[in-house]
Amino acid sequence: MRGFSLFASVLLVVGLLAGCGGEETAVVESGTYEGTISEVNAEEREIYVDVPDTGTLELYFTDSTRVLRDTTQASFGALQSNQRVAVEVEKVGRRLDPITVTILNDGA
Amino acid sequence: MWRTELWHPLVVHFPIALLLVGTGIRLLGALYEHGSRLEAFVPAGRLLIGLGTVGAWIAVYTGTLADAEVVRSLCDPTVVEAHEYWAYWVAGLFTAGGIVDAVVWSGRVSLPARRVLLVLLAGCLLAGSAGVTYVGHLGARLVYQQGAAVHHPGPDCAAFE
Repeated sequence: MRGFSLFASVLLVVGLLAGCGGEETAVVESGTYEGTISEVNAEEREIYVDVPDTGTLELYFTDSTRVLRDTTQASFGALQSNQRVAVEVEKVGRRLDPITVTILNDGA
Repeated sequence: MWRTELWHPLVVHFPIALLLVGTGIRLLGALYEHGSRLEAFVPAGRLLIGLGTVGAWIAVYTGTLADAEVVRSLCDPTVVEAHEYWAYWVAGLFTAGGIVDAVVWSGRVSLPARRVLLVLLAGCLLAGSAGVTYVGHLGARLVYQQGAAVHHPGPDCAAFE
């Protein structure tokens, strides 16, 4: 019984630690995609957007990336998890450079 | 001039060496530990793996710092994600192996349970070592195929005159 508990604990530790490593992301062609922000990383100016039937887009903002709300300019700080957004991306190699991120609604 | 992303290559080669060598020594020690001249391999392996595991977590941390600096210049950032993902697995597997080995070391388990734990330990160390190799391969792809964190001098090499 003790052995089983330890075995289960080890699996839990490995799983939890490995789970910190992020998620698999999709590479798509240049274009505009609608989805929901699943994570905002303000420190790295990065967002993850879940796009139905496509996957999760990992987008690192560049100096020229614009955030829009109702056609007006907004800041990166306006972005939050669960917001619906439309992202216009340019595929460079296998990197996705966000051109514009338009906030469609503020989510739940 | 020092750059944040250079902490990672400064740190990362220590855990690679410590964990791979430590795994070999610890497993040899487990096979021949009682009354053999290789008995000393057990504490030696534990020490190497302990140091290597701490180094692995430091490498994960410095890798996160480097990620933020270089990812925008890469042509394929998905390699960074895979590198990071498997690095967490490696650090997790060796951490788990360390926990198992600590229980073995405590001597508070029966002989059959001890055998099971040693098999579990071997699994963690061997899987972790395979992971170290793969993570290292991904790191090399980042540097040698995409020039991650590599400074490119100008075509006239003026900075060296």
